[in-house]
Amino acid sequence: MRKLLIAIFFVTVSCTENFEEINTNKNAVTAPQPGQLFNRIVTTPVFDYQRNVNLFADFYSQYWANTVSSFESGRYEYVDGWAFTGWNAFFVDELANIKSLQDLYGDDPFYSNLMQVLEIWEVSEWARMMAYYGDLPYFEIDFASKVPYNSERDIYYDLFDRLNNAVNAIDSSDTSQYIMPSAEDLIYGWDLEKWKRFGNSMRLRLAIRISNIDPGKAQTEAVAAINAGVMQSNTDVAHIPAWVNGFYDYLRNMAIFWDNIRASKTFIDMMYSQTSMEDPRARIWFDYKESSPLFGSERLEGVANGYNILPADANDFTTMNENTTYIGFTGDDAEIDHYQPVMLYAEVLFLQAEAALRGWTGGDATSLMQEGVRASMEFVGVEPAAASTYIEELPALAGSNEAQLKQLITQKYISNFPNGREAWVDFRRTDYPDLTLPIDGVSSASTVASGTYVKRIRYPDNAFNVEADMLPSNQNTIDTNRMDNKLWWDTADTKTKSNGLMNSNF
Amino acid sequence: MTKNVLKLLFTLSILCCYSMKAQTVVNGTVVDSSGIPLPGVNVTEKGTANGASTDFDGNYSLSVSSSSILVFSYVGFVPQEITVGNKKTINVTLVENLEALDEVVVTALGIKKEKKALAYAVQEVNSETITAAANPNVASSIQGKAAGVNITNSGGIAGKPRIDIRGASSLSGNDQLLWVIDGVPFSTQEFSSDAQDLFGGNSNGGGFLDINPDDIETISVLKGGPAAALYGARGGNGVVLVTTKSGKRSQGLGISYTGSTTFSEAGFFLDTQRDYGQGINGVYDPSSRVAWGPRFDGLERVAWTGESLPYQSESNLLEDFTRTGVSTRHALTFTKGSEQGNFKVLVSKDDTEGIYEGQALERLNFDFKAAYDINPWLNVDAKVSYINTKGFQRPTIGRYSFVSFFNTMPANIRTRDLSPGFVFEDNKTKEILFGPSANLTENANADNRNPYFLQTQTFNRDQRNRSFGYLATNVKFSEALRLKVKYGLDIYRYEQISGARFEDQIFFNNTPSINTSESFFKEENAEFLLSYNKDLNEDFTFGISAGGNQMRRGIESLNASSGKLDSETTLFLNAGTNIQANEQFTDEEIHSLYGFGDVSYKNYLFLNATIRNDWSSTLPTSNNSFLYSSVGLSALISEMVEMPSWIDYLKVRGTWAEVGKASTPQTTNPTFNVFLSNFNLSQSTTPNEGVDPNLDPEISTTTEFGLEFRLLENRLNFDVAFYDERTRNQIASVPVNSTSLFSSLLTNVGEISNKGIEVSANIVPIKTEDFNLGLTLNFGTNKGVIEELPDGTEFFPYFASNTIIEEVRGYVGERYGDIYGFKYQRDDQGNVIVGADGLPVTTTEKEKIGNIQADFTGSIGLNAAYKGFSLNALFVMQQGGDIYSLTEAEATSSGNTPKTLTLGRDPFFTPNGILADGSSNTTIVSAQSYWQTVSNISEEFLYDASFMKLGEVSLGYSLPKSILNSFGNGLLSDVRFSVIGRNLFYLYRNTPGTVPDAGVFNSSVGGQAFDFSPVPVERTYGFSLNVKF
Repeated sequence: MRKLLIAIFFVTVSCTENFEEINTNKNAVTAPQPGQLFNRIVTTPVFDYQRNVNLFADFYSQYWANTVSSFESGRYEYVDGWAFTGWNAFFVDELANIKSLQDLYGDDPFYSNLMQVLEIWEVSEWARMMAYYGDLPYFEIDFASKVPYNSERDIYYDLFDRLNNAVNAIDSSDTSQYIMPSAEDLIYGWDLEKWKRFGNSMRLRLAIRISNIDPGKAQTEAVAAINAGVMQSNTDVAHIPAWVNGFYDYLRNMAIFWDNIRASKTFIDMMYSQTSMEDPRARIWFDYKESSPLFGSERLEGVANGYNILPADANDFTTMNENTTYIGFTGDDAEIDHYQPVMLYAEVLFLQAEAALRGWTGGDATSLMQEGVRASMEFVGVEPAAASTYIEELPALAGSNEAQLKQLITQKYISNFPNGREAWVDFRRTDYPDLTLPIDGVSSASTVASGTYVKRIRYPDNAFNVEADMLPSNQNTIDTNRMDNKLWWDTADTKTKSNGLMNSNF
Repeated sequence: MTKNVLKLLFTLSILCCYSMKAQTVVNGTVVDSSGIPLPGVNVTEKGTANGASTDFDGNYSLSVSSSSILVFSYVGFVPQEITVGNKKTINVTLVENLEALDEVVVTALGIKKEKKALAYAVQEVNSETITAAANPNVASSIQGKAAGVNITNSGGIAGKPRIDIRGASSLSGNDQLLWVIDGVPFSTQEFSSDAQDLFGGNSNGGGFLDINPDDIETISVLKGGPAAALYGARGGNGVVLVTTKSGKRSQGLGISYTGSTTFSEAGFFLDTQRDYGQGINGVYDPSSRVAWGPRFDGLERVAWTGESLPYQSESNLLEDFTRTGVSTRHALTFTKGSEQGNFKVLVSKDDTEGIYEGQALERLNFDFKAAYDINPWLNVDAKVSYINTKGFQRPTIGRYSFVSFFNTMPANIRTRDLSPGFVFEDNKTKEILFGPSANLTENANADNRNPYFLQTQTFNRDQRNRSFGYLATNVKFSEALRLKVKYGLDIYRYEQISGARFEDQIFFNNTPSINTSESFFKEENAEFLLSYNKDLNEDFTFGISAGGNQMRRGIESLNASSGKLDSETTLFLNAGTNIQANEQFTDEEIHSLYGFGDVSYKNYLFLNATIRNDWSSTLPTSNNSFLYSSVGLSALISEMVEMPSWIDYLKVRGTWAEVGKASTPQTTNPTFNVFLSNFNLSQSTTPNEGVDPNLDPEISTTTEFGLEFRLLENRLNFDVAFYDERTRNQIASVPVNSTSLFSSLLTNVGEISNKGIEVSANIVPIKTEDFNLGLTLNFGTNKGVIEELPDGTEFFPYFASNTIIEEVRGYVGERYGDIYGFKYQRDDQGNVIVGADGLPVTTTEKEKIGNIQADFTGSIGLNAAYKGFSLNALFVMQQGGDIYSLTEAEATSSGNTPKTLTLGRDPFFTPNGILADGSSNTTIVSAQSYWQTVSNISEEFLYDASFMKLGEVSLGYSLPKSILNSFGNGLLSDVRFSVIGRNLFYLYRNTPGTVPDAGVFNSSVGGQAFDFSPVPVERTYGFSLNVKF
């Protein structure tokens, strides 16, 4: 009798040790393969491209202009439902996946090269996010709540160190290490030398980004980066392919099928203002839609940025060339529908030109600039002869440093198209080229003072949920979280421009 | 003849077992104090297994030895013992046990207890009450039959009811009741998900529909923590204990037949206007989709079909579309019992047609249950059931429902033009509809469909094959010490096939298509219970029991979809061009140990206590064990002190209980999903829900007091319960800051309280030999409040959707279930603010417009019996609570509701309109623009959900004994014929033609706020026949 009871007791209560297994989803894993996470990590920035890139950075850089009446981000209004998608995707998807990959494989030397590549990408991504928001929770970020925000300065300093260490630690000759199947590295097909050059180029970009606020550090980092070896050709370009069967908002959809955007008047006018001829890239990038009455016109015309009530014919204006041969726009006609640029080779040449202009290196700024334009034209697919004709007519850098910088950044601006994020960074840093305020004025529903350019993106509502006390103390209320707050490296107000020039860049 | 053979066999069987003694045959009749014969009274020879029971006329006959003592016993009556001696006839008058009316009820773990000893409310619903109106759905058949139990329906015959006992206690929505049949948990899981937003979905009734109402002996509703404490984690929301029929010792053959045929028709439609037809702003337009055209004048106009037709209101489109559904049921039961054991075999078939073409439900039940005393200390008890339930063409509810398409259609459209809804062109079946295009096959869009086409286009069917049963052994070590070991099994396969037959103009990329899914469900419960009961002395008795249960549940699901099929002629999965499949395994185990004890003093003071520990697989391993207990006291005041003569019975009771509840399976062990994505690479993501490592079980604590009294010779019986239930540590997934690298966190949040009063009463105003009149009242009031939410959380969103404006929220410190929506913007004087366009302006923020909680709910049952006739009527009601009619808002936008006539159809000024700056409004607006603006103002469509309806009614007649006896030598023991009706009419309601108790579009708490194009509620009438042999 007693034995029976004891037996029953054990049958009932024992075996709770398999509860963990019972409670685990069998159609999922606890440790994914590195490539399974990595291929998602590097494509996260393309997610919701329209809502977090096109409707903000692409408008603020004046590459594109809005043609939907109810879309008010062009007049600097903040729409949480749009911008938050990018914030959320970065933290909850991309960074969570990066952390998981580090947690799973970080301690094993077999995965050292993987960790370095991941490190370079992570730095690139933090820099992307900081260029929108400024201070972010960085040093203590983890799967944890209540993480304090850190200053941009401290973060940038750390990013430089991480880039340097990661690039140095990549051992591309060590074939005993983990080698990712090239299909899973959608950026470089696991070419580690290219990853190193991307890492150094990123270091150069960030150095130039802080050139006004912290010139000493900027020079040190820029010189070190160039010496370590930056991108060498258009085959080094870092851009993210968007899969045709994915759920991305392709640029093609917005510009053609949805009639959401048209080319900005600011940008289109630059196709004609730099030389006596039309920029040979213009017709590769742009055209009128065949249904537009302007189709076949002599000159391309863009739409001004920042309308409140749009002209009825707004969508008759210049848009993406549907039949373009530039695969950066419309993909390869097979699996890729669109590329989001991370860093173009042309940009790296312009960064070197600026380093030369600042006297940090011995290079010739004009010839580096010309190389930059040539690299861009080559990438876009301009005939070499046509490129040369155009470049020959481009004036050499001349005049004051500010005047030279304006010329340089204007060319950089054109060559960086369609990388709106980086173009907006350059405008905020140097206040070049000459962009325009919203044609119908800054919206009174925005957090940007009237007559002022937009300087950043607001922290999303989600950041104020319970943890508002973690935010930077000067931006932790609905009122102080403004879109005309300047970021750390943005030292001047565009309004101080006099005769077209600033006095803040040298 | 047969009767005599059986009697002989029976006698022989007794003779075989017992040695011959000096035998004598004793006959007699047993009656109650008013002389009415008592059937089914047990007559036993004391100290032996020899016995019989009385027949329908109270007669018995038993062969006994002259020295023996006969014991006459019957539930609710004082047993009598009479020495046989030389008497040949012993007539007995049994006296009702007025002291206690020792009503026995089924309590947790299937243990029968005297009701007087219970310290909590248990309400029993018996088989007659359940089957009175031949409702095939058990869940909805208990509506109005127990206080504080509220049931709302959606989705018509086979829809999923929401059953709510004592309010909603859970923020996670995990508030399903536990259904237990003959002591074994019975899965009511549903595998297709509810409609969640504007676009609706199917309502699929889940496992309730497998239960055969004809097989039910009683249903005990264990309402809260105290009653359900012994069911632990799974019983936290209440338990419905179903006891099915068992074999009995009876005089007759033990064969009974029940049959019924009922007819259902769509009974309650949205009110629509019949004065204005197709057009825009008063101008006729045969391509218009809305009813803003001119007034009907009967003059010929070119209709959308190109024909010239009189412009007039045609018949009710939706009513034309429906049909009268016929439901038939047949149940045949064989039962028999002897001293050693009993058995029951039942087979039944239900076929129910819905009100839409093709909509049907079929059910086959087979049930075998038997118990047998193998020897004096060992009893075996077993049950095997097989159930097959099939559903066909379950209708969609919400925006894309037939109801919604018809409600927005102008009244001049003719059914004969809409039907059959398609043409065959270019080798394709194409939908035709009125609309802007002259090519009628190009007019359908997502919001405007031809229901006749859809009925042919979409198909779905589902089937569940279930086996259910148990094997139990009861070991009697001694009179005091017993052991029960039981193994129960519930196992089924559910399959569902749905799809679209033709290439759809709207979803042409993925139609025709077929989707198929199947789920395999298995739940095992192995348990034991060791009980020791002893009378200590004259005054004290005590009982103590200890038991354990091991529950294992596993669900395997496999879903596959075809993608676009090759052609209309290849409606099978393999022909798909983009076949996708996924599978899921969900396992759960709960291991439990429990104990309970009862002490009674002088049979008028009862103390009981329970304790239970659960180990649940769904919680983090460090916190997966939780212990909770209950204690209760019941006192029969009427036994303890002298009472006035008009008080027959007075009992007070009080109890306190805790119940723990675990999480849902596979939520606490996050894993990485793996799927094909980017460039067909395998991809994986980090789970975006974090899990609190210290996640604790939910705990609900209930304090309950009750009062039971019977007055005036038991003519007035009352049971009143007061309860206060608090559920803390609510397990819920709460949104968190993205910077925590998670979107949400599964953690313990908040507390909900539900307080209420339940009253049930039984009143017998008239009781004579020929005529009886009884009243049954059940009332309940509940106030549910969110007591606590996490810091910084203003409210809990019970319902929020991207596609529906209105929300349902719960604010801290307030009654949950606030309905939020837009109101008219008004100035201080209450004038409506209009914009520059002269149209009303809505408030900038959503504001509270109502609350879903009723002030009280209840029912009044009336039963009258005169000789062989009986009449039962059940009125069900609700007072208070609000419901928002999205159904009406949509039809208003289309110009179809009577509301749109109230200001005339000529342009007018917005009533009481004033500009925001206080200046008067000078802008006139068209009726169309006004009502289309108003259709987005939520408060305009909010209704008081109070109602009273005749839920059930039946009039029955039993053939008298004299007639029965003249057939087949007494072969027939009972024949009863009834005429029945369900949902015949509402005595009052405020909703615009629709009904407030079936408008919900899903079974969640938030869903209760909406009337959104459900399947029209049916009015049912028919007849039933019961024959016993």
